[in-house]
Amino acid sequence: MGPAAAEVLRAEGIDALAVHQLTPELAERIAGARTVIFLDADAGTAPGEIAIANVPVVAGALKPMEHHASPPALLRLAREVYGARPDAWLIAMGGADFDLGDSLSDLGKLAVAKAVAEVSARQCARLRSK
Amino acid sequence: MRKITIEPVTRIEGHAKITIHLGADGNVERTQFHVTQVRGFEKFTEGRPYYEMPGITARICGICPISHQLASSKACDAIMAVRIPPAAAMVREAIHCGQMVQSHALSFFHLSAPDLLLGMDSDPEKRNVLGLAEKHPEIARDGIALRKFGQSVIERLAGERIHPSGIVPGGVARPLDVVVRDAILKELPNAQGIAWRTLDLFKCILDGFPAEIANFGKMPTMYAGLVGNAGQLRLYDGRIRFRNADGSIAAEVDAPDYAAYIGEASVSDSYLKAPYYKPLGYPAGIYRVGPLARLNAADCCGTEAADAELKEFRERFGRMVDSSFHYHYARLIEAIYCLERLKELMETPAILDRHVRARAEVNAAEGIGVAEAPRGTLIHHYKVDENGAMQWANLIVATGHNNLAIGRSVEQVSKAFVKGDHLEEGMLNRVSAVVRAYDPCLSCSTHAAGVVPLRIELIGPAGELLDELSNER
Repeated sequence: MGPAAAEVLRAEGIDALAVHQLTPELAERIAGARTVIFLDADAGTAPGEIAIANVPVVAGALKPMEHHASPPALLRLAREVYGARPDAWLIAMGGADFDLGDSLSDLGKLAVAKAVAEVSARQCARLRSK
Repeated sequence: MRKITIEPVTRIEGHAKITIHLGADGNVERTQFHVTQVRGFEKFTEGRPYYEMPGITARICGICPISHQLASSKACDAIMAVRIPPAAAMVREAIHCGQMVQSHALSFFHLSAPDLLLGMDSDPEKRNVLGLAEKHPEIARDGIALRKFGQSVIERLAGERIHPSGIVPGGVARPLDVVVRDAILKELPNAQGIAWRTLDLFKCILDGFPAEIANFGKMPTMYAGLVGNAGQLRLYDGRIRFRNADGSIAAEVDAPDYAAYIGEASVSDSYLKAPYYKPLGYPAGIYRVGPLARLNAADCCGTEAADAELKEFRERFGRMVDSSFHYHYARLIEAIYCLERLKELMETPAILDRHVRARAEVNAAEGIGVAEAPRGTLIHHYKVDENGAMQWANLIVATGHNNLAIGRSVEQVSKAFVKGDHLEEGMLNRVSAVVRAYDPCLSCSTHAAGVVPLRIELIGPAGELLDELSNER
């Protein structure tokens, strides 16, 4: 679902990365952004729906990143190494079918569309506020 | 007997558990290194077309997929009975150099540097890359930049950073573009600068670890690694050299003959098999692979700066360096070698040749591909039917070769540092740290898909669980 959303967003001119997992070097990329939005498929969100949450920079102890990182850990790394403090959000996209397949379910596509619309709306709002 | 359990072992790839058994006197009596994953790639690929194997086996791991793709593609090349175009071999090797650099950067900066730079006994809540970034942001920045460079080489040459599509049976999917070549050459000096200053920093702090150097797997074993015709370090291609602890060469073997020299033993308390040097039997045939082993096995690196560093390394610790603590040092020398080798390849005009793929049908029922993964020698051995459908596969993965050595290292460290009458977190961290020195890739080596983390258990004389360390936070 993430790569599908990223493909649409790139076509709209938004800087979007599709990655298998969050890795430490993404901290440098994040450090150059004003706003970072993480999009991820989520079994805990109702299928076809999205859930939006602010991702804070956690000051205290965090589950440390090893070969892959969490959004809070990446943000923390961006802050510690590059002094960057972008706004960050996580959009969880509710998936319906997590078995192997060759295409998204209809509900999966619906969640992707809602996530893309949300990101686009935020981008438009940011541009209007300039 | 009291038992200590360390689970999970942190800052490694994969899942493992360590059990430390204490005797009635409170001293360590014996240890067990358990790998708790099972994956099944060798079984579920039966029936698949052989040419799918590079793509399938790349997904054994997200850290070293290139290694699997290279070894797998070489096995497929053998099934096709083709000699790939020279430019394809060079591009494959260049991708491999990128992978080695990014993997070694991850291992050093993110997994081991917290111990080495913040201290083995430092606050475990901060003894990680975030704590490192807080205290040494410039070092964290270097680590991110070096890994990013390695990843970018992979992405530019092979298509994607992880599980790329560009390494294929018969060669590579696309020729190297001169613009890409020039971009890599432009970024190389910065990457080399990072590697050199990191090694310089490491050499300065090394004297702060005498007890670790003396007890982190300091033991006589054989060493194995690929070498070229002049005995130089080789990572993509070469013969498998086995060198004895005393420095004499035991054997030098072509890839197709590996099975005459490498056996695999199953162990009862772990899903990870234990390869051994067949002529000496199990477990006498213990050998190590990976950066330290490769530098011991080879006569030289074959590039100027790396050879200078290797010379200094040997002057300081001897021709055959036998403490596994020095995997860290060897890893940094290898990073320097890979960056030099990458520069050599990029500066070779022939690498731009447009002929990069040989095509053929099935011409052999069996294919064996060997390459050096960041963690050690990787072997893919396939058998196919006349239509090219996989009938059988055997993967001997880098970390598997080190299973015996890791187990003995854990025992040595435990006996040196763990005192049952007063457990301290730093003692158990050292047990984990010796595993980290090998930079194991346990997902690869067990053919595991589990969520069981690494746990250390302390078991008392009566078999009671006295203490345990877990990574569940």
